[in-house]
Amino acid sequence: MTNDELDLALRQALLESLQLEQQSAPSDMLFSASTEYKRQMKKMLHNPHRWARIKAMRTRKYVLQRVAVILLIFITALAGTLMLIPDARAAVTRWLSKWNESHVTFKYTEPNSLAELAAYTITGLPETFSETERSSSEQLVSVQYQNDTGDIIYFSYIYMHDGASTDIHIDASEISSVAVGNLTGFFFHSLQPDSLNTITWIDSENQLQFVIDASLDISEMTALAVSVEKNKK
Amino acid sequence: MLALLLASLDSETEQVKFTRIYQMHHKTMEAKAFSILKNQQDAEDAMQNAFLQVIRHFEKAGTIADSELIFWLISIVKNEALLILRKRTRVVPPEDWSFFTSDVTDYYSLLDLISRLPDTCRAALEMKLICGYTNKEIASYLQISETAVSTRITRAKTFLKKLLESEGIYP
Repeated sequence: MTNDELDLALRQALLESLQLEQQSAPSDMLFSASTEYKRQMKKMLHNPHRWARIKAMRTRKYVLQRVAVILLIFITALAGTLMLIPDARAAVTRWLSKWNESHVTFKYTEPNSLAELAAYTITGLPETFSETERSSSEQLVSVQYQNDTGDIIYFSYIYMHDGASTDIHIDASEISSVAVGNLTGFFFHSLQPDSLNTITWIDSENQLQFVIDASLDISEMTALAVSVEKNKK
Repeated sequence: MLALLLASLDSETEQVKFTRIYQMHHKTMEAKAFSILKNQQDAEDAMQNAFLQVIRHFEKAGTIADSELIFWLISIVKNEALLILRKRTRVVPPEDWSFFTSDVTDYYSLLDLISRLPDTCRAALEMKLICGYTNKEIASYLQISETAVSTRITRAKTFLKKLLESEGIYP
């Protein structure tokens, strides 16, 4: 039996095994669709393409929620240095509020002394990507870049100000330390299907935390991060 | 990953086909998800994740015979449900291969044996042979390494090949 013949035979056997299982499945299991589920299915049927994109963006939100974990690791890694730098140590204690096995909550209590958040841009975008959306508040800026095939790169940065907090859950990811210029950051390679990879780094001098989410590998993401520049006025 | 391979669903014809597939099979898929998860919210999550997979791999639907399409869909939703189940329990039991010493005398006992394969092993086989996913895609989907995917597939195929050949069992 050749490998192709074996694959064909096993494929058939797997299909028939599924068929047998289906025939013997109990019929008293009642799936009672919720209103939200029906709404989602209606949206999906109306435009599968768009629905899938929105679902993927929700995954992005989930990924962003993990960023605080990176910060904790970042802080822990620098613990030795921080002992020698009182200002930095103070900043750490202001960030780290609560940590347990399943999630971490950060709160930042530094008084807000920033008059206006500067504008930053990724200057080294891959080919055909361009900025499609930018939203900003006093302490947070989010920028979206998109290419002609619909791939998206999300770039955001936050001023680490009083009242900032993040409560996140930890899930399967491979974490690598990366250098973003002379700043230290971390790269999250998500092992979850549909999740974006994330790179984050902290510019302590300007009290900014940067985050980029995209489906790119570590070297591409690092290159994007290094290319982030403050807009010239 | 956010980048979605949705080009195959761009045309109106393909959207009509997608709607037809949904209308024909969603109830069977929902029943499958619910029978595994026994929780309405989880079953709905599994269904939505399953359709994300269907949309993403929709070009595969064109290569599968109509009579087999339902089993392709069941395989997808079943594996999405098992993924949720694994996350919920947070315990991954060791794979039990002891039943592989069982006597397999005919084709139906082989089908029974396949139905009792360890979950991740069977999922990897289904994704490879029914859905046509690459080892990398399977690894990402099951959250295991590509090596682990390859090991599972090779192990199962080697044993099943031996059975098929030694017993003269063919579908």
